[in-house]
Amino acid sequence: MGKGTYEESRLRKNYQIHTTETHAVSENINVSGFSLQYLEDMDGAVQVQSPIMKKLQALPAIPANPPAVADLVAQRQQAQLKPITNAKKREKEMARVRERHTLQKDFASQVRPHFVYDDNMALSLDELENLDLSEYMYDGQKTDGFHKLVSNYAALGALFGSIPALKTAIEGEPAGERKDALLAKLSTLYDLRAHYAVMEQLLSNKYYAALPYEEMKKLSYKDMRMRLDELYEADPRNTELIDYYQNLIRLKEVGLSDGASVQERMREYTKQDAAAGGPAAPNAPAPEQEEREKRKELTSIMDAYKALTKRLDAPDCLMDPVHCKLVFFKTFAPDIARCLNVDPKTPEMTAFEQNYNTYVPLLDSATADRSRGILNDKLPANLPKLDGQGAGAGDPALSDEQKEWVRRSGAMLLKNGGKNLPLVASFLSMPPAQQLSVLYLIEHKDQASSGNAGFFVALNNYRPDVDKALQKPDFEQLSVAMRGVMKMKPAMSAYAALSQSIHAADRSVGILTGENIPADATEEEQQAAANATAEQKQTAIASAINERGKLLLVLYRTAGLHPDMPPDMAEDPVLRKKLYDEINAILKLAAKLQDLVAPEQADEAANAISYDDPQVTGVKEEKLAKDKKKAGFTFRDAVDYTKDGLKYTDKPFRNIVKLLGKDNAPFSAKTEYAHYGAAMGGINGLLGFIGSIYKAHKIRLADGLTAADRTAQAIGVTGGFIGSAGGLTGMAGSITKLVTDAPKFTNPSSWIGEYTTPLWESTNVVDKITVASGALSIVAGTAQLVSSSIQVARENSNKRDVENARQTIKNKEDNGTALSEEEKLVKVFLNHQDRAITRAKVSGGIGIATGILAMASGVLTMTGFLAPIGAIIGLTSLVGDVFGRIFSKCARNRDRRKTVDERLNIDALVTQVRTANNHPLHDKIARMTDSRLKDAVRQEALAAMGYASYHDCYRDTCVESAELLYRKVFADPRPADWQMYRDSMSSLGIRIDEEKKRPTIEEMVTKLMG
Amino acid sequence: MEERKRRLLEGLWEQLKEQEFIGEGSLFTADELGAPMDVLRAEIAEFGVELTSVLGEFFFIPLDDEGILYFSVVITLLNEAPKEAAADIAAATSRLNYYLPCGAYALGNDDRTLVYRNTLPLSADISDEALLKCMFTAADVAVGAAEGTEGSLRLVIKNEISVEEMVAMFTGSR
Repeated sequence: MGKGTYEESRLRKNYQIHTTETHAVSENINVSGFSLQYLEDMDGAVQVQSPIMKKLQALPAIPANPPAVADLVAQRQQAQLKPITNAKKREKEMARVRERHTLQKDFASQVRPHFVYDDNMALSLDELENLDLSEYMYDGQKTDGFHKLVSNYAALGALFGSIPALKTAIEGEPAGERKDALLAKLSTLYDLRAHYAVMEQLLSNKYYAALPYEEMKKLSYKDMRMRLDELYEADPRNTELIDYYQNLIRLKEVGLSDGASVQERMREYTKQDAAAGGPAAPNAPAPEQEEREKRKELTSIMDAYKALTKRLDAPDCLMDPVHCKLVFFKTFAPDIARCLNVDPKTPEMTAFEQNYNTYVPLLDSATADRSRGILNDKLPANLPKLDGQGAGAGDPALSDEQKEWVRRSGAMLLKNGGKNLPLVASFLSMPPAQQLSVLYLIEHKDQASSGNAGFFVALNNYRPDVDKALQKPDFEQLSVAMRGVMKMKPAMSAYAALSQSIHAADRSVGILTGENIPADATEEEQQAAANATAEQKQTAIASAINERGKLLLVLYRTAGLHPDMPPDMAEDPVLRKKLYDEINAILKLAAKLQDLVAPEQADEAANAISYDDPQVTGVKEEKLAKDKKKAGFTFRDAVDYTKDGLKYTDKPFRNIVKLLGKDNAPFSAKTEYAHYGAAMGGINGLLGFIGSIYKAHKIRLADGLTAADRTAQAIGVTGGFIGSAGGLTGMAGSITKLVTDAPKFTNPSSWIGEYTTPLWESTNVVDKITVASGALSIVAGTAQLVSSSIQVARENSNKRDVENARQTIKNKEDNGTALSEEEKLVKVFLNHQDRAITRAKVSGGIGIATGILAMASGVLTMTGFLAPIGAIIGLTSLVGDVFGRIFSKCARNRDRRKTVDERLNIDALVTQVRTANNHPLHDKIARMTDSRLKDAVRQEALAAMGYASYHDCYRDTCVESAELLYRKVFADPRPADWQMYRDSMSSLGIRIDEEKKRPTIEEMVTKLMG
Repeated sequence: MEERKRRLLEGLWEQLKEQEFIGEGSLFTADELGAPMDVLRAEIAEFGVELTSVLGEFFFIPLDDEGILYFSVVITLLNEAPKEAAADIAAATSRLNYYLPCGAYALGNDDRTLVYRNTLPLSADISDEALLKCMFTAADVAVGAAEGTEGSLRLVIKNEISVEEMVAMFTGSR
């Protein structure tokens, strides 16, 4: 496909997405009551706050005296800082504390301790243009930034105060370079202001004096969030410390540190604005050039087609050629159509055109959506395959540009598919929205951990860098991403379904209130609009609020934010913006509702609203009680609750109305979410149900996860957040992390949604061959499991472990109790263990040496002269060598392949394929050797499940077993069959530390895979 | 001798490229590389826990001992080990090497290149066929051995586990 600048700019011109407004990083960071969005409505703005944050707003004044030593110690302790034991150091620190305190008092005594906007323009646009903003950054200089802030307060105040006036002036400027430059400067100015506004807030907080700021600000975002979460969970809450941490986080999010960083920021904004404007449209290329480009592109497409055909004809390819070609033409159709009118055509081109024309009429047929291999009809329904059909309804809607990009990437992959054609076919059979998500993941794999919070949100704006990502596609990455998306599919669908219901609710509101009747409103709808009663309007608005509330809850949970936290604690700017947008939307709706509510109705609420009050929430007592016992809380629960809530009360708006009756929660059209507003608190009250939901469930300590983990249970945030406390975290940049962190139904700690059947649950193709048939502990893996220990003593205890575990299962079986899926898994695991141990014992080789060395309980240093080679002897003579009996890569591969084959029951599949007489590729198949056929069938079966190769599948199995063990062994409270899992885990040969929750999933997988 | 070595390497390549764990590769002559010997460079695909690709190099060390061929396999695991981790890597590799049956992990001078390497001294007297067998086995085992242990090394480098813990993973002390 042509890739010249012409192509790029053409596409960019057609598919511009950006706006030309300022989009400062700090746009959604709320500071000191003056959110930057405040600029819109300056008069009569009313702030909605939740109870907790009301307390916060009235932050006590700074104590008159600096903290005494005892206080200081206490405060440091609260911040989890180590106490200073050295007397001299303590003196020094006290001196610094006093200094900081003095500064605070100084500051407090100034008349206007907050940057306020006014209508003045302290400087002209020209001056602004020439202004070097980096000079205003006082951090990173010898004197503490805070000092500088206080001493330069007036100057800064004047500068920042002018922001709104400057903005108006700039917007009046004609478009062009100067405007762009000014806009970039303005955005930087916003950020600067945010930076200082946060510092201002810190100066009003007593902890600023007590805590060593320099040290505190070095904490990572994750650490701060973790501490913040703990603070939120505490009861009563230490609101000042909360405020301190939140401001630290805000500073991090704004991200300025010194003059250089200001310059850097400005450069970024300038680049962004330039990109938004798009490169100057190139002059329409001369007709000959255009012709040449088309030719080039056509030739390139023809080459791709040739490569595809060659691949399809290869003796070991079992993809259905007709279908594959259909997919090819469908993908490239727009480009082919455009380029085919070149003149003159070469004979190849004409041939190609004819070929293309035969396929054209078929392009629209439904079957063109999937390219089939031979297995499709044979794979059972419940095999966790990537299934194109069946998705769709809940998928996020893509814009046209996005669809085009998805198409292009599909084309790229087809071109470069090579032997991975089946995998590409699987990819292409995914609905476009999912394809887009896959691309997003591949491109953003490094940020997959924290970025996932904003994942759903980011999809809205995502534009894949197709050429970069797919030029030389990494199919392993592709397959991991595919599986990640597959696992997230339920959550994504749920999210998209919500979006749709919100859309529907909005539409209904628009119609019934008559404010926004869409162009395509039906007769009925228009009638309804004309006759809407007050009550109908109220209900419609209440429903809209309700739907949005659900979404907000989901977003909050996805972001791992405690519901009371202000949304600007979300690290990802895209997510932040989304949260703000939603909250503001809710508030606007609430304001509308307020206007419609008659005073009498409002008076209904006489008493204080209790967030727990079932009357308010509408959730029945017994359900609440029952669910309080449930471990964990999933998104599905959230949705169900709000649904139920609607069921339990007859009119949803009644609760909302009750709240509106309270004087201290007035909404007005100008209300917008502002400072300190822990939005959810206010919204919770508003929405009633949601408040009760999170209260009732109180983010539960999920099995085996620490408090820290709990904070960030959502997809991906788990990965990066908790270090080795769980989850495959170490694979930086690898999206394996994503796959493993994807929530699972069987994992009670998951928040969101469901999970497709775990691999080991999928039944086999032909018969119902149960899990016990050698699925899990693959020959290769097992040998290494056991043989990873070098002491005979170890081996003996291994055997005991195995025995114990096996006994438990046997007892169950004897009693006729059915084994759970997990137990079946362990049974298999243990069977192999047992075999391996036996094998090991038999081949224990060097008899005498074994005896001698066996006496050594630890590392073989006992017999002096054997010591240097002791390890090596030990390796070969005892149970096994250190790393696994199998060193030969060929052998290892063979074993892995064998296991995967057993799992997929490849032999049966192959037989089926061979005997299928009416298959179009029958002849080709007949010519294939067994082993080749096996390879081809294996590849297709794997691809259908989203695996690029059997290594992938093997690894997944290792990961799943490791996770199973981790979950069960470190669960709190312990499951009934805990001992069995513990025994299985210890047979791995890694030391188990229950406190530190070791081995981590990662360690186990490493062991299993090694 | 040179001729023979080159032939042997070509022969090795013929065998290796049949293997699925070997991706692209080719024999680079000494001249091309500006090195004192020919090197067969091959991509080792789907390696390790992360199923990434690493570079494998096979060559004869140009030592002059008569009648001895030093066949060497070097697998480059990391090109850019983080500087801070150099000490940990050094400690980890030396502990790990204690337990490896053959070959060794090694950290390059720049503290950033981590390789697994093994050298096989072979007698020049034996037939080409026999030599090829030895070479192939050496290559196969080298890849296998490196793969089996790189996962734990990686964990150390990423600071997920300490060197002691890594050793404990292998010795299984409990």
